[in-house]
Amino acid sequence: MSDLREIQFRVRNLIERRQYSQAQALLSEAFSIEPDDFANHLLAGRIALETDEYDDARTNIERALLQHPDSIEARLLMFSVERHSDRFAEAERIILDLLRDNPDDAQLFGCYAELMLRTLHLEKAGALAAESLRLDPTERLARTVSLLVRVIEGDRGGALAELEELVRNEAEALHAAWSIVMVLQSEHRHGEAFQVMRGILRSMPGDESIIEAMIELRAASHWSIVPLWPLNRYGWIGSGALWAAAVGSFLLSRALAPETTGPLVGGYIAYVVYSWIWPPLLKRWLRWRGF
Amino acid sequence: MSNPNHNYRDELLTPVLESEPMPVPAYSTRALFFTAFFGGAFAIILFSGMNAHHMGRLQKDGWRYALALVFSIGAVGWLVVTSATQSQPAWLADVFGGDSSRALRWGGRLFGLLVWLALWLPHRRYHKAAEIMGAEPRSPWIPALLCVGAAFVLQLAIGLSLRGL
Repeated sequence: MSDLREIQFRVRNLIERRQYSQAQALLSEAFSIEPDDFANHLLAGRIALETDEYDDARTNIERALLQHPDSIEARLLMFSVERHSDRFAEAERIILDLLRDNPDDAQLFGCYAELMLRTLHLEKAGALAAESLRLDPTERLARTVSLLVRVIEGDRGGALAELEELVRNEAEALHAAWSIVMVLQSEHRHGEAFQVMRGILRSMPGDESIIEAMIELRAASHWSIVPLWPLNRYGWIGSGALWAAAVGSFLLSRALAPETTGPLVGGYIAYVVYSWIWPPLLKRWLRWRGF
Repeated sequence: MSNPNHNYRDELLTPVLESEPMPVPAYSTRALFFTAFFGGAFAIILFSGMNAHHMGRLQKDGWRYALALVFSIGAVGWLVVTSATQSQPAWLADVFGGDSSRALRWGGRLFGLLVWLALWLPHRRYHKAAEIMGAEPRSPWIPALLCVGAAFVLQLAIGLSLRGL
């Protein structure tokens, strides 16, 4: 293997391990050997994408595309840059061009499905995921999109079936574990979601977003939150129904046993105050204690 | 003869993001709920209408808003007239102990929440999707307060015009 190819191989490894500053430093060695190498530009584009330097990423991928305008890898990377920098229309144009050139590529359909989900075109996201899975039933991004669309639509059975497929194909994959958490959360099984989340944290110990999500889940499954079940389970519909039931019971008690109205009103106000104050306090305490 | 599979593919591969806006709700479910709770039916119709406009769904859902407006004018008008003329049904008068202003206040609030539910349910999936995809809602304070103020004026105008009859 030539020096350049060996350095590029090591840069790829560093990117996989998310060691972007080391990857960047090593890549400058590769650029000193060959300043206008296609793979160098692509790797620079990838590092810039991962570090949210979207303009740099675009510049590097454009340089790579000047050499190989039809490269699927470079075009797909440019799609990712546009998608992550919220230039969704541009991302759609790129993925549609790719799909016109590769009409039976399940992965490209999966990417387009994910873009449609991100932009909340839910029906189209579901249809594209289905098309991707028709072409390749093991396509994981399409399976994840299909699962999320079913969670959003409230189709529990469908979501569980998709989850089963996902786990069967890649039981160890991180995205499968995230999907499990998503499904458990949508079913309000916060305790079980918390346990799965623990496993995810073990594989990515420094990730703050995971720790935040764990605190949320731990708070949602804490024993002191149990009285808030109707609000947690039914959300704002639960709040509205509870208010209507409380007003109804005040009016009834005033007609039937006026001496109970005061305690009833007091109890309702105490419950409302507890529902507003206690959950954020509990989260602060869990954060301080380290759940 | 055309191939139905090709038509389906063509449809799937038709771009949507340049022509259609993203149906991302501008305001959260919480903001919509409290606007209905404190502002009543007219406030939530206005505020939810603004949300639908941001989502590019006002044309599609326009009939829901028109229907909600007609129902709300009828319901608020009925509450105002019956409380002004003390001609509420006996059960309603019993429940509110003959206090017509309380009937107007609580009845109006309950009706506002029902209108919120009717307008929110068709958009529920978009709210859930935005939550899952981590979309940040806009600050609701100024538009919500403007809607509550406008609803108050509208309600007052309906009340005055009906009482003058």
